[in-house]
Amino acid sequence: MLAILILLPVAAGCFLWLARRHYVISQLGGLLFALLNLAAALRLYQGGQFSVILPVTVPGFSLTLRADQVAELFLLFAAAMVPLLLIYSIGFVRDKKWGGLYLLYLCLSIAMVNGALLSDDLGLLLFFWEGLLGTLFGMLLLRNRENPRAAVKALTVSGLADLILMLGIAASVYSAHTTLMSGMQQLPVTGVGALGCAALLMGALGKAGCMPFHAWIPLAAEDAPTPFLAAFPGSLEKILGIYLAARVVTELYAVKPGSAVSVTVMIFGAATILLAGAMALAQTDLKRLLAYSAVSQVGYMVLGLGSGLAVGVAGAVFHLFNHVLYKTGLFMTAGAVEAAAGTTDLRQLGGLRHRLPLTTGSVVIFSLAITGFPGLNGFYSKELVFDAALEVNVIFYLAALLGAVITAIYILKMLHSVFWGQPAAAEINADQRQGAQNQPAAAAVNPAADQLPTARQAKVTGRQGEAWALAIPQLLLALACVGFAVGESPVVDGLIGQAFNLQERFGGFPKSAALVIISCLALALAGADHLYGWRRETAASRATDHLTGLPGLRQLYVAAQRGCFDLYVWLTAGVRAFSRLCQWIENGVTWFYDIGVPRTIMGAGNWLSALDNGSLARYLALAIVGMLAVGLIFILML
Amino acid sequence: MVLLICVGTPLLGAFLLPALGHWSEKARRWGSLLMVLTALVCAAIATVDLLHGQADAVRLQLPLGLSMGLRMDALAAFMALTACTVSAVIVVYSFGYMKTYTHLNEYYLMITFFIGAMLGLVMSTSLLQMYIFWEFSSFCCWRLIGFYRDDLSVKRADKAFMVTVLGALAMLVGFTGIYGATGTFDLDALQGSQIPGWSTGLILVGILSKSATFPLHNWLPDAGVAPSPVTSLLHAAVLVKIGVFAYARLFVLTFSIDPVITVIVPVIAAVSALVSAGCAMMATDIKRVVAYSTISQLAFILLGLSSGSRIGFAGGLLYILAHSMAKAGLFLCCGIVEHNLHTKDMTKMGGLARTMPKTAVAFAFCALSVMGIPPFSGYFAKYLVISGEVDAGHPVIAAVFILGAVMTIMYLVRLFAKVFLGPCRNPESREGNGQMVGSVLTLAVLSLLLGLLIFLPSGLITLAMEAM
Repeated sequence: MLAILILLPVAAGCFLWLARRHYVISQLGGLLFALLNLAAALRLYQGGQFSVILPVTVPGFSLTLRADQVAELFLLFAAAMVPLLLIYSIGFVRDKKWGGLYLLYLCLSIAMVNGALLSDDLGLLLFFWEGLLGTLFGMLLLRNRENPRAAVKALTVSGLADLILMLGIAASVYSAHTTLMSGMQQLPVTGVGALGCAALLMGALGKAGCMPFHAWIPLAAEDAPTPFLAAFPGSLEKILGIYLAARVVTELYAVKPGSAVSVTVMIFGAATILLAGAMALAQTDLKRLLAYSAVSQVGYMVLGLGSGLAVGVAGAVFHLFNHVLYKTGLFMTAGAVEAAAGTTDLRQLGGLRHRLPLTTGSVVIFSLAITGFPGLNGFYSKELVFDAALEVNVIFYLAALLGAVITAIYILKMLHSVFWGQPAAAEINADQRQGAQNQPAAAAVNPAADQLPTARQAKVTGRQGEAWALAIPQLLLALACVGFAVGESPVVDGLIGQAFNLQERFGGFPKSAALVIISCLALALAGADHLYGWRRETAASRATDHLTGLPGLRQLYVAAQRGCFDLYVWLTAGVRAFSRLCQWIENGVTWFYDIGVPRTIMGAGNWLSALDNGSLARYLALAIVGMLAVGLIFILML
Repeated sequence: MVLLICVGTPLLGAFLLPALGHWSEKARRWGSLLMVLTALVCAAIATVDLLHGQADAVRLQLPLGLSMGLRMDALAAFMALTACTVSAVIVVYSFGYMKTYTHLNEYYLMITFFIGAMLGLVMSTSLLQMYIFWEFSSFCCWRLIGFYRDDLSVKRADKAFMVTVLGALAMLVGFTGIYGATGTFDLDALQGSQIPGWSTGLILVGILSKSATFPLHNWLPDAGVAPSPVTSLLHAAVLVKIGVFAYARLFVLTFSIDPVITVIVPVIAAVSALVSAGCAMMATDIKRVVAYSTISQLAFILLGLSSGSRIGFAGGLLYILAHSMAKAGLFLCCGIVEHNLHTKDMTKMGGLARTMPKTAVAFAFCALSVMGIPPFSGYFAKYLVISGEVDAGHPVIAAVFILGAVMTIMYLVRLFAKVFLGPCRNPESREGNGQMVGSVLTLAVLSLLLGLLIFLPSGLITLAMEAM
């Protein structure tokens, strides 16, 4: 059964690649595979925990697959996302030349995710984990061989995270004297253990897209096809990253609340929420906005997990599930919008609610969920994270709350400008004019703004009406959001609480009414700000301009434009400086071999031959010096 | 007997090739391939025997404690199979690459003779015999780097020869120190013996010069003037592995050494890995980038073998295999590009994936393997090496190597992106001929398959680990 979950997606990928020209067969095949995958995951979940040792030996590895409750829960959730991702992807890549390869890579990625979730051996886990890097690189290259910047950046930044994870695994294996996660229980966070814990968390959260490992995601949002965004930064990578981070915090290492590791992780979480949220505010491209939003939301999970508290873990994992549902949905929405209107530029879009009624219905639910609107699933998970943050330190709570306000502001802007209002060419021109004068920084963080196709072109390229393959997965995700809201208690206490063996119960309406009221006020504040911004600028797509022009934020965008928050920029700058040093050393070594040694030998030769001038006295003197030297050697040897 | 055929066929048979060449060009090529394949088959037979518990050996006892012989053990089998497999692919590649050049008699003679020398070296039972084969390989290297006969090639060939031969002479002096202390050159008799510290140091000089480790590495990037199959065979896949093999044979499996060596050598390796990675980032000549990458990866191998932990040793051996396949593939791909564009300057290239899609895929596969990305074989090797170093209690050195691995990703991605991606700047370029493209694809697929079927070489590696 465990092997099926890994081999089945590989077979499905090959099938979809071969059947790439036949749309219906692809859809049916994809659906069949996705359902089989789901059935296998469900069967596993019902079957309880067990482990299998693969019948091959590789030195240094004990190739063990294990399905325990945590793995089964994440596996089931990932498997539930697969049908939606596949149906949507097959619909999206229809008639595209690169479609077959895309589906092959997607299925291989699913195999990798399944494998990583089922691995008990950390080396094996890394095998599947890092394998995603290969498929990621391939997918990002599909449409962008001419301009591979996103692929290069993703491979470098994620590669760094994965290699740090490798170091963490090596250190953990050294501390625990076993390569199996089941053999690592509450390792102490000291010495090599501290290195192991920190490196594992960095690797895991890097995969989830936490700052500063997020750098490639906004770039991918511009260059990669939308189903990729839904699948990778939207769901699969988040599931995997948070899965491992949750295991590290709850199981592998004894991370105490308030310890150095815990506080550091929480600081990264809070910074991610705020910085990525602030970046999302300034975006004028739908996909880039959602990409920054995806990064920002990871911050909540990191904050929850970093707290080391049971409520934080429950909140983080529940937030992950919710996030995957609504963010995948939102990315799919962006794809549907792109397919319908031919652009994702907020300034060109508008009034799509008439053309895409189903998409609009779903996107409203996703938006309410992501903003934490009371009654929807995002509300419950955010409140749990707020609880945890407040328990550790009020500063973390305030950061999270501010993040919620920011989220609501940019989501309202997105919703309003895409689905309501009117697409006005005049507005674009005015915006471009004004943007050049007033908003150089905001324009600079939106490189896509340079190549605006006109709304008329967009209409020609865009498909009319709503494609079912693109709409149905969104509807199902919206339903799932509602379902998770209604059945919140069974999910939090039943599924998550049971899997992580949490003693307390966190389901049901939040216990602290005061926190709920504050959250509601925060949402109201965001709503009021949007109205103010919209009235002031007379365009929904510019409703955040009054914020992005604020002192502080303005400098932030300038810094972002310079690459101050971009790990890739740091890395390349550091490596370039180091490489220059190396080149300098190498030039020295080359000089030694190519010039120094030959010149010394030639010089010595010339000098010796110059001595040979036929003078008897000189020969005699040389002979005496020679004899003295031989004598000296003899004396030294004696 | 099978070992004598294995070593003797390429070593002595190579001298028949010029005669065959006078008769027919085809006979010379196929003769060379046949000899390499014979060696491969014999090595495979001896390996099967070994896995069944029967180690083949030939031995000749001479006076004065001298001896000669050939012996198959796990390490030798591993090296012989790796060398022969890669060599066979490279010889096939040569059919396509070399056909327009003169001096082919010498080329095939030297290539085949070198493979014989390599096999003789890995199966040697005595230090003196090792030294002799070692110098044979240096001689082949000298002739082959200077193959084009122009001034620059000859100068570079002389440089490589000087550095490696001086290193070998230092090693020979080290060997005499061992003979002085123990009265024998025989590896079996020396098993577990203590050797003088200065001997260890001198032997290390030989090893580091042959395996191009900083600061004795400088000859390797310069050797890129040789034809690409030569660079691939000698300076990526086989010759440079002689040094690390000698480390494994002498300092891991034979002598008992001072534990301080397990710190000094990894530190040298770390410096070598980082400096060469930095140089690879700066170089614009595609073959120099790959050559610096070889120096950097050899440091990983050396780290694995010298870490003192069994896991690291297994990783080092696996790295030899994975790196031989992948790096040979990279050099051969560079050869196809160079052959086509008549330049090695990457700033004049771009978008070649459009005109050379198969070469681009092969290059990508081999590069991913060198970067250590699963499911390619390089992953297992890199993971085990890093794991082994932490296991030996040196997490800081392991962290430095993680930096080296990050730089590996960066310079290889840079190379791939500059040459194969971006706007097409060489629309007139075409895919190489069938033999060349077939060879690189074979190596690329082997890199992938070895990762997926990683348990296949594991039997031999486990056997070698047990001998530690």
